Amino acid sequence: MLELKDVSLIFNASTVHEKKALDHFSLTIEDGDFITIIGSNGAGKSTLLNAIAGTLEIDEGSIFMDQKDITFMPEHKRANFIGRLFQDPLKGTAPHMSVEENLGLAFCRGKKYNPLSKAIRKKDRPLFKEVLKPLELGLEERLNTQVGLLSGGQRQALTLCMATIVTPKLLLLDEHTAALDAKTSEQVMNITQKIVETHHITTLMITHNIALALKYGNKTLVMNDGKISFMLEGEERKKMSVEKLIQLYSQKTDQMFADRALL
Amino acid sequence: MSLYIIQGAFDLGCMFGILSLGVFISFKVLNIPDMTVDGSFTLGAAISGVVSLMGMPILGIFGAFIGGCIAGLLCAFLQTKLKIQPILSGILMMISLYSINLRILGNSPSLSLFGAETIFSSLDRNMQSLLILIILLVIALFLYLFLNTQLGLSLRACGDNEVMVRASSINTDVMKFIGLACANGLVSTAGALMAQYQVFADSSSGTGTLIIALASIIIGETLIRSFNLKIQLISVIIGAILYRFILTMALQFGVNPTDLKLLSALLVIAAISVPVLQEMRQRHKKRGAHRA
Repeated sequence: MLELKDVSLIFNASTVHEKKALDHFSLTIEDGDFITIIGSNGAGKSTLLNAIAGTLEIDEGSIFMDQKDITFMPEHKRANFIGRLFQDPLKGTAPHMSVEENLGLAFCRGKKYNPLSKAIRKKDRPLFKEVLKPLELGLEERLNTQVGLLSGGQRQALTLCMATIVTPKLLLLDEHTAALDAKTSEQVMNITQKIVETHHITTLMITHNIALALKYGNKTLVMNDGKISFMLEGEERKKMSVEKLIQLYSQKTDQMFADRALL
Repeated sequence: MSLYIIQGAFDLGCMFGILSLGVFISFKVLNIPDMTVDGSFTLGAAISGVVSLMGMPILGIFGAFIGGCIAGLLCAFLQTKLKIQPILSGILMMISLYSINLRILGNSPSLSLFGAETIFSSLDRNMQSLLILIILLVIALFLYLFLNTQLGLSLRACGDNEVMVRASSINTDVMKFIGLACANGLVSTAGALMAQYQVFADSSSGTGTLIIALASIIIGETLIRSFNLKIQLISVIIGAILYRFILTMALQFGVNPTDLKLLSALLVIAAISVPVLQEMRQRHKKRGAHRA
């Protein structure tokens, strides 16, 4: 469904600080894939998601979505079919607006409403409650609460609802649980799993936690220096352990996993 | 204070209210400190003055609104397409409008509407006040309804969290165009009303418009704190009227009219710094207790 062909993205081109964040990167993502992405800092993981979402324009290559060329489509247009979560739980919600208003905003995504129609209609409310209920955070009773008053975990869970209230073709998760405490992180991860499975959303998830990368999803992509180091799937992935993966990584790249401390 | 003066303060306060609602859109909703308003206020006064002299005062008000909208669109163009910083865009617009306003006024610094027909000229004193109040309330109502539409909600989110808005399929540039156009349109309308009310359009009348509006918004906010939009709009209006009363009182106590701008600036500084100073004092107290 998503195809990256020979994509390159270079920061500070032709200066001493030149950095190839994506170096002739090619990847085909199948419908329904849940790919976890790992790699050390500066491997180009976030750049990859930014390139797919359109936040960064790529320098070479092309990106296709369902055979349609989206290489030069602006970010806000791609957002019609791409849902996105950031590491910072504050980035995904509008703090001075209520839970209901935030959901209302997400709900109009990709739909052709009259821009001057009422934003929150009474008939939408039951649906809002319905999507909030599975989170088990009691947010369905707090539709009129200002989002800025919620905790980081609650806000990230709400962001997840917003990103998926209109089912996206593709969901991009950029370490979306990294800023949360262990318990909340697990909770948000379970909710993620539940939503992705229920709606069969094709998903890319960056994580620094190798155990998580192997536990969730059906494929694991290991990146290094803007390239794919190797991809794990099927039986090979099932048998893989954290230790073995680190060993494999060191063999393939001649370097130690920079984030060992995080395991 | 005589009743006459109180009524005058109320009228001006209501016009400040329209002005402040405009700045509320740019400063509070979009979170952009837009200095264009200093120019667009005078722009409204100039357009309304000139058109009134042609005998069409109502058209003058609408013309002023449209003129203000165009100024806002140009400012948004500088910010979004040419990537000029918001503050600088506003200053550039303000300076350009200074020359444009002088041209509209016929290359003279002021224009007297004495004897010309205005929207107020056929009304008695009380009806004049009522008319201004009605215009203010209608604008406030429309603004409230607008900010609760799909478009309005996107506009508010754009000022609240731009990253999120871009990730949710809304074109933030378009939002800035719309928001700044509305904001400057309202400010210009206030200038237009002011010119017809005072039977006088002046090329320097817009200086400090942003500060007047900020003072009104801050006074309102200090009195009534709420995240509910309806109450926020009401608090802006109350703040504007109250602010005008403070100015009128100051004048009554013999403050020189030319010092009013300084007074306004001090008021804004005080209102913004009070919470900081309070915090400093509390920290000081805490440390004192710790040492004891």
